[in-house]
Amino acid sequence: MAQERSIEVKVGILILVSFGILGAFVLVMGGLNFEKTYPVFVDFDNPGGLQSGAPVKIAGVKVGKVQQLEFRGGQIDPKTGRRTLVRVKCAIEARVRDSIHDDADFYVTTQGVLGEQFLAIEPGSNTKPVLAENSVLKGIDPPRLDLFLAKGYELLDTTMAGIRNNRELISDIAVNTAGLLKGLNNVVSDNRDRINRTVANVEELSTEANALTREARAKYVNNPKIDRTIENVDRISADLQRDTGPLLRDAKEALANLSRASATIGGEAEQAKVKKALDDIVQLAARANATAADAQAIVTHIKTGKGTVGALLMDEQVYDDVQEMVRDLKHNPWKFLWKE
Amino acid sequence: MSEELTPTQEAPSSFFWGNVSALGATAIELVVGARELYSVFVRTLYYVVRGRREKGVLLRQMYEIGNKSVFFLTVTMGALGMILVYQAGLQAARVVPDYQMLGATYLQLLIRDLAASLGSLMLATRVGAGIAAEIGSMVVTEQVDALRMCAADPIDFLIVPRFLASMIMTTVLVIWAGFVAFLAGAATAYFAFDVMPQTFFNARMVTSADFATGFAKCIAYGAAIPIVSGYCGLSTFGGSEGVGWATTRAVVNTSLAIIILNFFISSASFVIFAG
Repeated sequence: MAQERSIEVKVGILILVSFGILGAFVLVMGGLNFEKTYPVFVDFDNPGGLQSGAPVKIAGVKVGKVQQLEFRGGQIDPKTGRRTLVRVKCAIEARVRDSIHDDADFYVTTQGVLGEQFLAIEPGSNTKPVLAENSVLKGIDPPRLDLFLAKGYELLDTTMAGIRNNRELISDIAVNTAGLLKGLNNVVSDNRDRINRTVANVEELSTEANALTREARAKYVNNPKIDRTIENVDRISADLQRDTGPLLRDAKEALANLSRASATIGGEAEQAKVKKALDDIVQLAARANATAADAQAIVTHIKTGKGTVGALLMDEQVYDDVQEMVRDLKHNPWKFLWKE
Repeated sequence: MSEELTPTQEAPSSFFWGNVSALGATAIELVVGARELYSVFVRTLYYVVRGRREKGVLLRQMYEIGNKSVFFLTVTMGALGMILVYQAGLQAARVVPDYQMLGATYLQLLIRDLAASLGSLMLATRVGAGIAAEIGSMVVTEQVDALRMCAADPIDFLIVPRFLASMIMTTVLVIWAGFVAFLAGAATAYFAFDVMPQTFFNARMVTSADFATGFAKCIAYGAAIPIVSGYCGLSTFGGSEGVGWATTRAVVNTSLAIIILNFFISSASFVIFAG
């Protein structure tokens, strides 16, 4: 009986161990993950060989998996306004939510050269907000090696055809180039001394130029006088800047005044009036001028003693006669009444 | 039949006719054998449903088939796992020196085919030979006839417990064998090609289709081993020499049955799961 029991235990242990291994493996294979995940959608034009169940990685660390690949056939999605060919749904673990930002890049890449493909996330910059749940992003399509090869093949083919068809031309070019190089070589070897001399001269020249530059710098750049000048200019410009404000304000005011005055005169009737007044003034002045000329002529006339007033004013004889007459009248008042 | 062919033996091409008759005899033997094997199988299934159960017999058979094979299977499958990964790694190094997918492909291959097939082949050599020798010696010593005299069908009495025990324990042992082979492979990959165990343990290639295929193989091989070797044991004739022959035939036929079943199950899985 004891032996029976021990057989039972042994068989039981073997079965338990075996099914334990199987169960553990199934759990591991199912990618059993007790982390909470959140869905993010990524649109691709061609996600390459990405399969559902493929891992999602940030910097090589697995943070989720691709749940589903949905073929949308290029329909315009009203949510994003984009034509979407393939939409990838991936479940990303909630623990990395804070490190994936709005400007994150999703791209498909491979592990090793021939490894399986997975979805990699470039988390984006820290300044952007954290990527929300259920967001739809545009993914970066994987490099199309097949396309690259096809294009590269075409290029190679064209190049080969070009070379084949222009064989003579190319050989001509090669021959000419070789001749040119040979000639150049001859020239160089024939004129080695001269070239050496030229180089030496150039070197000397550059040395001199160097010295000159240094001197010029000492004189003109590092000179305190220059500094002072610059300082003065600086100050003047500062003053100018400071004064420009009030100056401008005054000028503005004057202009405003002028503008006001011109506005007052502004009307055409006023302008005509002013013109008329000016014309009158001119006429008046002309007349006054003529009058003055006349008066001058009269005065000249009087000065020369012509005419009655002239004689009265300018002829001494008249004065004497009048004096004598007055004196005579004083002495002989009767003469008013009686003539001798 | 051979008596009917005797007149032709005098013909000039007697050598040719002799060969033809040998071929015909073999074919008839095969057909008869297949029919008897089929009859054993059907009767086994019948007694599984309808048979009498003696307490403790099944458990003893499970112990005999299962626990006593663990050590043998651990050693052989461990060695096979190491060899497989080492050779696969050497071949991979010639194509691309990239061992990242070595573990993933190896694990898929193990679950889909190698754990069940190689494990069952190993098991067939040990268990099949044991069953055939046991039943064969019982036939030779007329114990089976005694059973028949007691109105006990030797199939119900001898084969059904082994059949049930083998189906259960083959599955259990194949899981264990796969585990051992994978661990041995992981160790080989680490020491020979510097593949880290966490890289090697990559279950991404394994699908539920692989599991279903592997499980179907476990059940099929587990059923085939006791039936084929039991049939070989029951058809023993002669003395101890006959038992020896029966044992040899059991090992050969069981291995053959496993390989043929492998072919059919793999094809069916390919068709059902579309590769």
